[in-house]
Amino acid sequence: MKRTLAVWIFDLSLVALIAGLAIDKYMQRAPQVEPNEFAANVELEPLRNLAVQDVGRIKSFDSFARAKMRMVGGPYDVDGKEPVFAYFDLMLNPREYQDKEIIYVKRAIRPELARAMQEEKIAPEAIIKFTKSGLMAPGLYWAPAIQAELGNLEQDIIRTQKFVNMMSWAMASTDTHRLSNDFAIIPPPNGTDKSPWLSGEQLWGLGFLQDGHNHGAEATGIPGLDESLSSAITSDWNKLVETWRDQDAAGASAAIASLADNLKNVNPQLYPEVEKLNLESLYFKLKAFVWVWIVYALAAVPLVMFIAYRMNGALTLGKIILVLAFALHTLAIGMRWYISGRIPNANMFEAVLASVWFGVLGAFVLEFLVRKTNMRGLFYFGSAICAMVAMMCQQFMPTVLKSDIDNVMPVLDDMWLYIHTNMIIWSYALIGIAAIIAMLYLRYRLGGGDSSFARIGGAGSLILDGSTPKGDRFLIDEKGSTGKVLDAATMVIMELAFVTLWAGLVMGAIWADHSWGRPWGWDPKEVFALCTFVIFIILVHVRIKVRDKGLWTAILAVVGCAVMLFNWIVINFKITGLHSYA
Amino acid sequence: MQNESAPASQSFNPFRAIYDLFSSVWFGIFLMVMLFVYMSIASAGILHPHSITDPFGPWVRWIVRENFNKTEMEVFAWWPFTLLMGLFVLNMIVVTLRRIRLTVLSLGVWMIHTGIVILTLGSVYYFGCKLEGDAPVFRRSIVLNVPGADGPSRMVVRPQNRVFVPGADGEYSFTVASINPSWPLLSGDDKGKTACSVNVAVQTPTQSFIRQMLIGYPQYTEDIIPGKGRAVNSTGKKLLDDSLELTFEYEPQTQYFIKDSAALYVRKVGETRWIERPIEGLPHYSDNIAQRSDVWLSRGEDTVDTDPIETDPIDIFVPKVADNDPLGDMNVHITGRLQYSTGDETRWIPNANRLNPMMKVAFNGNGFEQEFSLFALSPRFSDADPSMLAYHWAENEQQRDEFGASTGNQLTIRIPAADKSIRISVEPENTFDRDKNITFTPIEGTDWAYRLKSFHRSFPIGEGMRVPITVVEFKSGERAITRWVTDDPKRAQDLTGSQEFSPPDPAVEVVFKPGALITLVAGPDPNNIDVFVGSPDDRRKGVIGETMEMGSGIHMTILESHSHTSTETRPIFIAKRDRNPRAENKFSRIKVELTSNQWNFSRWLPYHHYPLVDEQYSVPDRLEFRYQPTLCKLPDGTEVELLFSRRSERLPAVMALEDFELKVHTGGFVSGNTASVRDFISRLRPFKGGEWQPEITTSLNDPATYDDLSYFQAEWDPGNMAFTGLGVGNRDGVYIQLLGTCIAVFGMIYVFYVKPVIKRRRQQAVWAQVESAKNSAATGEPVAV
Repeated sequence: MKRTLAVWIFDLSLVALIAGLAIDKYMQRAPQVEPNEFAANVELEPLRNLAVQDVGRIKSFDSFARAKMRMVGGPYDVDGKEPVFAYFDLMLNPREYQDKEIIYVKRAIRPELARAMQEEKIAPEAIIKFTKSGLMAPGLYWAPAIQAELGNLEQDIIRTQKFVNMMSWAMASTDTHRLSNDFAIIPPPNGTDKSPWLSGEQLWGLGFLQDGHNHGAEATGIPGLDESLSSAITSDWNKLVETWRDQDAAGASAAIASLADNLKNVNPQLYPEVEKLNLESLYFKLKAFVWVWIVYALAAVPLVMFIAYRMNGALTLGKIILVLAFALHTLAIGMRWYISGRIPNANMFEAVLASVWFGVLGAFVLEFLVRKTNMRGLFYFGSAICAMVAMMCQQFMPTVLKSDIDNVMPVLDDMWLYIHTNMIIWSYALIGIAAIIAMLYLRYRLGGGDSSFARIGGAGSLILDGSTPKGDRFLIDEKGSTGKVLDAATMVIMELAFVTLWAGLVMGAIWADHSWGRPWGWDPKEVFALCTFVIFIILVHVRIKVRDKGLWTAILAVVGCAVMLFNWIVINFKITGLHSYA
Repeated sequence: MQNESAPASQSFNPFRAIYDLFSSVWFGIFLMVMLFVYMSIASAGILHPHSITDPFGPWVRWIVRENFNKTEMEVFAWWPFTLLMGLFVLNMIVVTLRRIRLTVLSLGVWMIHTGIVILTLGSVYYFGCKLEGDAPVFRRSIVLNVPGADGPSRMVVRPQNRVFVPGADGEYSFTVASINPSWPLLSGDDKGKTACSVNVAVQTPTQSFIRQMLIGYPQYTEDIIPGKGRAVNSTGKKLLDDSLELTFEYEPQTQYFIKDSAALYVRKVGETRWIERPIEGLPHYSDNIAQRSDVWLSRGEDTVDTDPIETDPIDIFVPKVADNDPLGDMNVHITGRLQYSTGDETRWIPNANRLNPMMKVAFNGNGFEQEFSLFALSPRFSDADPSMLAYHWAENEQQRDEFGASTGNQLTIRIPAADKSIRISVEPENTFDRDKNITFTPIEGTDWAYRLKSFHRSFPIGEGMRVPITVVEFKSGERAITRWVTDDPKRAQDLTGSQEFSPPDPAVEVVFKPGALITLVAGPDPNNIDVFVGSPDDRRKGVIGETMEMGSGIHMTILESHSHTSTETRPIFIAKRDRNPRAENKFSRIKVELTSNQWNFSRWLPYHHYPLVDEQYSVPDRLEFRYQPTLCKLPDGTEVELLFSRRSERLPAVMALEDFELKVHTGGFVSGNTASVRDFISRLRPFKGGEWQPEITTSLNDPATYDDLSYFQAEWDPGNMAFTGLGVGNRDGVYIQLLGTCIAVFGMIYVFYVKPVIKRRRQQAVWAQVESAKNSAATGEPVAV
């Protein structure tokens, strides 16, 4: 009886935790702002697909604006507006935003700033709202008490300075001149692909913003470009600025369309393919596919039902949904690969995405191999859960896992990025899946399951099970113990993780040897990858010695996963080493 | 196996017990857990919330290894780790030999264990031989051939570098005005290529111009006249001064500098080559001072003990290794180390032997707050305006009164005819210019009356001189005098009705003695203080620490008063919380002490990333390229320079930088943003056997190997690409390590995926035999086994 209660509490808390997280994040989202008439009617589509040059890449303006606006609003859209509109509106109507809460402040320094807000006699409700959302108005940023507090926080180099810097970057990112200077949309008329693009600020200046008149109209035009096109672009720009300021949606839409057309003719050789830009905009419009976690979650439900109740229909359904999720996942990676022009595993967002992709792919292969055994469904389930959790992190932590597409760091631009990184992240996904199956085993034991285990375990079980009529038959025998199956399945993944992690470490050492001049430098990231491996060596040897092999295998598989996550999360974000970029 | 379980009755054999312990898998598991714990703490340290009550607040990291002064490499070469690894490998060997019989089935385990043993041995060899360092290589020098000079001079090509060369007709100056690493060539066959251009601003005794030089293209060298353009256009000649010869030359590097090492460099003044003394065992992270008075706390922290410094002295003997060491057999010790000190500061301290009275006072009020240090006998060190605040040292009471009498601006008026004189205080507020209600005051016993017209604390009197001036008007019947007096009676003049100055009228004599608004007098007891405010008549007793009202809402507090003081220069100690965590040891300092018989010298030396030969290599705004040697005069009068840096190793082949290139992404290089760079490429030219060798190239992920050393692209100069930074290291033993890891990988695959297959085959073979035995038993046929 007690045991049943414990199981109920366990299951309910697990469900409550996941639901709570999702609801909490949902509640924290910024209120949707009803767009005004201008915002609703202005046709931004041509603007969205405009090419912009941004440090070493040509992006769609949509992708560019998203990255820039994220620097201002963190996880929130600036003033609830879509990034392209917000970018333009901030650039052209900066005064409108002085008192709007758009600057995102990290949680770590909110209490101090809230105290400073009290000093500034800000209404208590507004302060409470701030501590919850972290959003502050640019006007308030300059208030004396806030500035004084920021000055104090900046002094603390170790703990709070970086958050203060983030705030000042956010403020700088709302600056009109900065926005117009970064807005490099004009290809160099006679340049090569190595020549910098020209920005609005360079050509027209933004004098009109100060007094409402466009002084830029008298500018000399675009150097090296034939006069008619140059003056057409200048006049498009001026019209756009004026109509935007007058909130004339029809006029602005016309100016945008004309500007976009004319820009393509400045240097047609250099201008990227429209399809690629459209695809980039589409990719971000689809929120970089991070919502695919919901599809994975939907797949996990019938899969767990199959595991618990052996309903074959549930397995088929789960498999179909999983295939759909994986197809979307693959599409996300493929689009990203095509847009960035390089393998998408060069930053945290991409590494997380690729890791679970390898995990799911591996699960399909394994499931094919075990299709006739009682293990079937377990790998699907484990990989679906891992993919779900990983993509939830992407959705709920957009400021940590940034979806922006940038160039690969020069030091990573090597063959070994394909080999070492993929091997390591694949092993990480396997470790995650092993931990999920191990948790199923622990849950089984918690629910009163016997302390059974697979005598051989891992691939050995698959190879030897049923090889002779007198040997083990739990994998094919319908009456096989669930404990034995779960234990054997954990070991199948464990063994793979063991080999891939070791191989990945060795490949990393080979890369480090020719990139940094030493195969092993006791860098924290290296050490914790080794520590994860040490846990697995311990697991293999403990499994030889203890009586309750299943239990200890499961516990150590979860511990190994925890060390792996510690390496991936804490070491990456809190302890910087040479590997700090991935 | 049977023999091992000895009867319990046998006596205890410690060797046997140890042998059994090392045969135990549980002991191995224990060692692995210990290794895991050690590695975790040694690498990440201990993470904990900054405040125990707020686990969701910011977390901080306690880097445990730094408390033991170990770098990452050192903490994993330290005896506890070596011991654990040694025990672990021994355990693995014993268990494998004693417990695992080598068979086809156990081959995998044997391979894994053998692989790990080979890897460990390879690592012992690798880390034992490892040399890891770095070397900057500048792109070029310019050889300067000045007509009439003693010989050619050299100028390193780095921005703002300036060299003066005396020539036959006077001094020449050369300045690297700008460097453009990718100057497009626009003429001739080379059109479309780029080259590194260097503009040198030349100042000869007769003219100044810019000489534009392109590395690799001496034919394109030409002079540019500021404001006029290319010399060829105005003079018809490319070079304004043919006799002035500037040519590029390699700037080769002969050494590299070992990571995390320390050395003291010495040389006689005037020499270029540094003599090295390695420093062994210098701490990497700690602050080591013998007493708190070794350092100054940064200002404002003297009173608040926010980050107390603990004393933790060190004493490291630094022996001589080279015969030509100018310090000879002198005793050289390192007796202190600071992890983070931004520089030296000179402050005054009491209790020295020299009489040098000093008083510290603080003023506050009306939103104003300031501290002043006053020196009675050396007023030039005082930081207060002497007309506002004066401090005097009195040897006796009479002097005390005299100094007091000087307080305030005093005017003595004497009417010689009546032999009458009066003394009045001058304050700006009591002048007619400020207050039109002021009328003439009669001078008793005479028929003269006076009125203060104006007062100027600092009045310009020409030639940049400024003096205090008072203007007094006198009236006697129809006679009127306007007298201008300064502190020098000889400068007194009268302003006549026609607005002209004339010599003073002898009917009145005026002496003006300007004095401070507040006079402080102490002595011979520094605590016996008199304070005169405004005039000699307002005399008060000053007490240290007490605040007194000065009028107009201003208060004064005497903070300190000492009779004997002297200056002392000490390094500034920066509190831990104010240190930039990314600064590594770039702000560190060591205290070096030289002793020889009765003579001794001690000084704090700043850390230098490289022992640069001279100022020319010092790159502005890059701390790694600082050049700040310390001068020391030895007892025999020899002057030597000392410099604290890292140990050096000789490069097997001298390396020069032929060229440094960037490969960039679309849009070109965006200054300060490495995301726009694809690759950094150094083209190096080794010098060996008396001649320059063919070029070798190193870039990211593609090191160059030359004479058993590998050269890695590690650093660069984003501003001007004037130099490259090479990582230099050996890699002895990596192939042994690789062999070990590969054997282990194959072992793992064997254990997990081959062994079960072999087992399956055997089982099935046995089963087949059993089956056929059964069948033959059933049929009665004999079975061949």
